[in-house]
Amino acid sequence: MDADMETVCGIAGGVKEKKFKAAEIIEIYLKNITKQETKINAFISTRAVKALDEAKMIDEKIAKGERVGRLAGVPVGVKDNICTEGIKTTCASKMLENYISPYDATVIEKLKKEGAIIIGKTNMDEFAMGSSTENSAFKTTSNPWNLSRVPGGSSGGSAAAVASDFVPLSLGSDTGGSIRQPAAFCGIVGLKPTYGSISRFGLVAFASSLDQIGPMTKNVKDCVLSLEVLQGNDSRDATSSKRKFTAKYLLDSHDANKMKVAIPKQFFGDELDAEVKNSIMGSVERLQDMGVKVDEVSMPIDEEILSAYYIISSAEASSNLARFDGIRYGYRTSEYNNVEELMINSRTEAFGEEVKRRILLGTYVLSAGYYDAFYNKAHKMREAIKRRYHDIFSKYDLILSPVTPTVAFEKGEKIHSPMQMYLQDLYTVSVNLAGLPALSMNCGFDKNNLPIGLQIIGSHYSEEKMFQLAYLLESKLDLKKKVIL
Amino acid sequence: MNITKVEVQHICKLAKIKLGEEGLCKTTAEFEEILQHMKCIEKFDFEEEAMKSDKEGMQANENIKQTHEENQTLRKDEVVAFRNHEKLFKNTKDMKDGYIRIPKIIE
Repeated sequence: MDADMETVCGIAGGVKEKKFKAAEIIEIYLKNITKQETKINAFISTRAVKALDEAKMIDEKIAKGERVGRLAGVPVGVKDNICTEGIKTTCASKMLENYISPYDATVIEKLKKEGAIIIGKTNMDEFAMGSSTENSAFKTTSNPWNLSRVPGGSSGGSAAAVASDFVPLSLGSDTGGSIRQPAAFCGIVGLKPTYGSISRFGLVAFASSLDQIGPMTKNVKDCVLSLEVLQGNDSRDATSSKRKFTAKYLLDSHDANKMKVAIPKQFFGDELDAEVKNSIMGSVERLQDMGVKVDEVSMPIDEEILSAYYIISSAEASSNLARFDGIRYGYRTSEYNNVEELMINSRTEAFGEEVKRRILLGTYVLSAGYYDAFYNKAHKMREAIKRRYHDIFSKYDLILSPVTPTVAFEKGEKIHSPMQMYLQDLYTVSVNLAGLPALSMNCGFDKNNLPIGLQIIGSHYSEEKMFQLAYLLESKLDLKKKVIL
Repeated sequence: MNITKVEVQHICKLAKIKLGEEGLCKTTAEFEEILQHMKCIEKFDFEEEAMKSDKEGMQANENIKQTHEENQTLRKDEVVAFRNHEKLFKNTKDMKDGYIRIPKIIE
């Protein structure tokens, strides 16, 4: 594949300049999928014929000299919890196995308007609950770097699809690390933008005060262009920001090398794998060589933070998932004598183990007698975390940290211990609780050739700074390793 | 922290989820472990934490909160009809004369 065909910017530019046709691009990517998908299992559904038709329409427009969008001809994979009109949106759950959304999510409208072509819906942990994509009701996705390992989760299908060259861009959703952790495990770039930057209209809600849609790409420039397309106010999402967003994040001249960066020492504790730590510190040294000022700071990430996250997210999930009652849409049991039984049996038969666990946990922390002990305390904790971050951002431009304690783990390794799986999110959940933006990018490989991720955390709406530093580091590291399937 | 099977059963009832005897035992044990971790939040000293953050930081945090709130406005609560009934009800299992059919509630 020609280098321009591998990236979002390359494809969009090449199609517009008539270097190649949109249909050619779609054919190449579909061929990759046909050849390798049985090994990876990144998709829940694909739409080859329609994608090709759409590409041909773009080519016709170009031939006639008509205007095409900023993502003309770019194949996209969409996490299966984002509504797509006329295409199944299953949330990887038996509950929505046959659900066809009657409308498009705002992000899908935006992608289509800019000429992007949806090639398929990607696998995920059921209702985005999980860190390995093993909680999908339909299939387990493999990590393209090592097929016996997990791709991370919950946006594991989206990450694996980008790393396997099935698409140059995919959409994920991040409630506690679900874009950043799989991006780290699959060696790609994943962005969880500031809460309120991208409309959540049409994203099947897990924990509404934490959920955020974001792009997953092969490089920083592609991530920048994708955010520029996806961001913006939407009257259908009351939490989407009205502010004037930066139109162009990466300018030719910037002063990333003059930035002050904080390294929180607690993010580098005993639980962090030595190889991951060394790789991140190596990147930090590279940045220092370029003039970036780096200081060690204190930012406690105690167990309380993880607890606050699981209390708040489960509480919101238990409320959000109450809508699945087997009556209006979704799975309906065949065994019932009355409405109560219809609801109970439908939910019991269609929800997977982890989803049930979170609903029950959420119901518990919201129930009489426990509300103050858990839910209220978790909210106080959330305020404390915001303050801790703010204290750092009053003195520093950005924070650098690991994304995950280890590289991608083996399939089956943690699935039987919920607590072990929850600990995966140690470095990522505080970002969601504070509503901050964070980017995960590849910074090296371990001795088994598995990618290592690095996290750049910014203050609210500081994506511009994050991109500049990420771009600087990416150019300096110049990692050229590719997946060999 | 001791959570009993009876408590888990009560939560199941509230959440409209059924667990068999085996599931109930497993979930109770898992909850025991998870709640053990979550309990740490009860002991956390929030006042001490707030003291640690300097006043300037607190004020700036308030400012951020305000900017956030200013950025987010509520739209007018106007009804917008979704007219494509065919698409909307495509996902409904049992319909009759434009209504969703469910078991009898009142005899």
